[in-house]
Amino acid sequence: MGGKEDRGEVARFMEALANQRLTLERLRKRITRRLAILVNSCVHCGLCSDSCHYYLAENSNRFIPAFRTDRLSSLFRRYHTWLGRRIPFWVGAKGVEELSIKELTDAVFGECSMCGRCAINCSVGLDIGFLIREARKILAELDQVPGGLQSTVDKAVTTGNNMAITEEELIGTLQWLEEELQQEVADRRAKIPLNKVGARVLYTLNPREPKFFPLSIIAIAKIFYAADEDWTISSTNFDATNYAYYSGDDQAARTIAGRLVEETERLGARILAVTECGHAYRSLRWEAPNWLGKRFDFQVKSILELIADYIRQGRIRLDSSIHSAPVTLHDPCNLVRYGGVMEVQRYILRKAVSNFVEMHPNRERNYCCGGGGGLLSMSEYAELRLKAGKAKAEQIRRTGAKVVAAPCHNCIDQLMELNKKYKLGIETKTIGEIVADALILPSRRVNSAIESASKKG
Amino acid sequence: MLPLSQALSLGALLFCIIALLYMLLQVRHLPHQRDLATPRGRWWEGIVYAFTKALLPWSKESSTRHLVSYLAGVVFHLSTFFALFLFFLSFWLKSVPASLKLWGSLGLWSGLLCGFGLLLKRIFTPHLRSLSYPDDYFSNALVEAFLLVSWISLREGEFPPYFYFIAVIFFLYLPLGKLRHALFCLYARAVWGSFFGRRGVLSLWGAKRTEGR
Repeated sequence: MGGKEDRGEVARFMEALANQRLTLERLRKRITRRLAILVNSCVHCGLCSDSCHYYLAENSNRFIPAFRTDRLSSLFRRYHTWLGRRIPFWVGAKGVEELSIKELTDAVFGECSMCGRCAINCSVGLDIGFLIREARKILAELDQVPGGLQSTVDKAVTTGNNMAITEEELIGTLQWLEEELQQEVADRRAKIPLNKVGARVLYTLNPREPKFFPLSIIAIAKIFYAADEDWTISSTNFDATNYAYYSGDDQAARTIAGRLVEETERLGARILAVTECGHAYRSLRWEAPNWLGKRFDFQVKSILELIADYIRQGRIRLDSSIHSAPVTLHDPCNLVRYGGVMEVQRYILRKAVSNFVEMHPNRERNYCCGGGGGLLSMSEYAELRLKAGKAKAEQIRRTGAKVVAAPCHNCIDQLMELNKKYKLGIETKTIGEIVADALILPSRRVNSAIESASKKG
Repeated sequence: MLPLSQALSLGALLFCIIALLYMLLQVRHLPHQRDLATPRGRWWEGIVYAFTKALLPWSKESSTRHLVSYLAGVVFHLSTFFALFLFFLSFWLKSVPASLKLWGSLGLWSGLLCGFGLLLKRIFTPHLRSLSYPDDYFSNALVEAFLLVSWISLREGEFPPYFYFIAVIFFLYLPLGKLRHALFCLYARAVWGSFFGRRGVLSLWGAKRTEGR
């Protein structure tokens, strides 16, 4: 028995040693200019503390953003600074042997949604979200990504979408949705075009939509129909999400994003329209060109930007009286703070609802709902995730709104859970759904034009 | 021929500049990913924002919520820059003008008080203490000492050898410990501004201007 235990101890020790060596190697490989600048700049002022929704909910030191990133910075100081090599305790430099992989994994995967609110509030100007992803990259190379998140990435890489929806399943769902659409708009010509070569817009989905929220697909299809848009969906490469962005696996992220880029080029679309999903937008709009090392010949746009264009150009008309209950807007971090899409959603909502109420703070200063960072796929952190959503729940409650418009499916899932936990009594909707309900369809538009002409006559 | 203390301080300054330049070159040589995504905003606008509007106390929630700490930090840094200016001036100045004595002393005293307040906050606030290492306390104390000898020198109307000796320690330590943020913070701020400016998140004239791009 004793021998077996000893052998187990030795194996564990050897594994830990190998992990340490790997961590060091990875760290050395990972040092980019941006990383070196950031880890040299934190002054430990602590002003970032209450910008973090985790810290606000738990009020514990370990949730201070600077504390979280200090695990990575302390490694850097230990091996890459003169004082850190000689008198480590003086500058808080820690070697890999002092690093607990479990602790680091919890800190960067389970206790941070990479929302970047601390980055906007940092007195120096450090993008702490970037540092967290760098730490995630190291852990990804050490195979330390939490199981739920890793399996979501694996599914996307092996099956083409993160819910392993087969092509037949998707086609079946879309055919059914097309029939629904035709009934709704009372027009047999209304279509959900599949794999159409030469369409102007290639629309992408979050696999949650065909699986759990098909109404949001009908909503967008209805808007495209009303705007008379030339659009299509790919039956094989439709998944806009990229959980490898969250897991820190750039190779997988490249594969996932690369498929959509190739599909857009194959179909010859001029616009790759990203569904209402914050991290999908960020991944495709901002990160994919860097992952793939090329500039795209097409535009990557959020579906919100297209809808706003349709309204501005008069291609769709909305009846805001349909939505008379107060509606508030949640700003998804990756769409707004890291994506720069800030005003179009407000423009749309002011046209689509009659009582739009802003949350405070909003735009790039918004609170994260807690559902980002891949946290929805990591069940081991679910309890903490819901606690961390308290700041958002209170924000919503203060608006008195009955409907929360959230242009992100991850956020919607989290908001639905927050709704239950904090008894908010709200309904969450995508902006597409709100717009679709308020649409004045072309036929009604014709009818109303005839009516007004006859009145004038 | 310069007195020994002055010569030593200039030597330390030279070391400091060379060490910082070396670090800067090292960082410049690290791999850097060029951003290939089509910009929405302007990177330079973000940088201008980072060094202007972003510094205003009401521009960030963190500075609004912690206004006293933020302003104390600003005053502490400004008076450190003033002490550095005095250091350079000391090589040319035969006697200290009365106006400089008055306003300089005021500035240095404000800096001393603010720095001391921040040091106390670091010692007595648990969450801040958890973030701090000996380097954090020492760096603050060293700058305090530099401010103190600068003030004494101003009051005396001459710059005694210990002013230069403290300057020697200050310049020697600057590239080694936390104080090197003097260089990297500027760089980090520029990177921050450029990153969010390019994405149209930070804009001098508000996000509406960048949305259409």
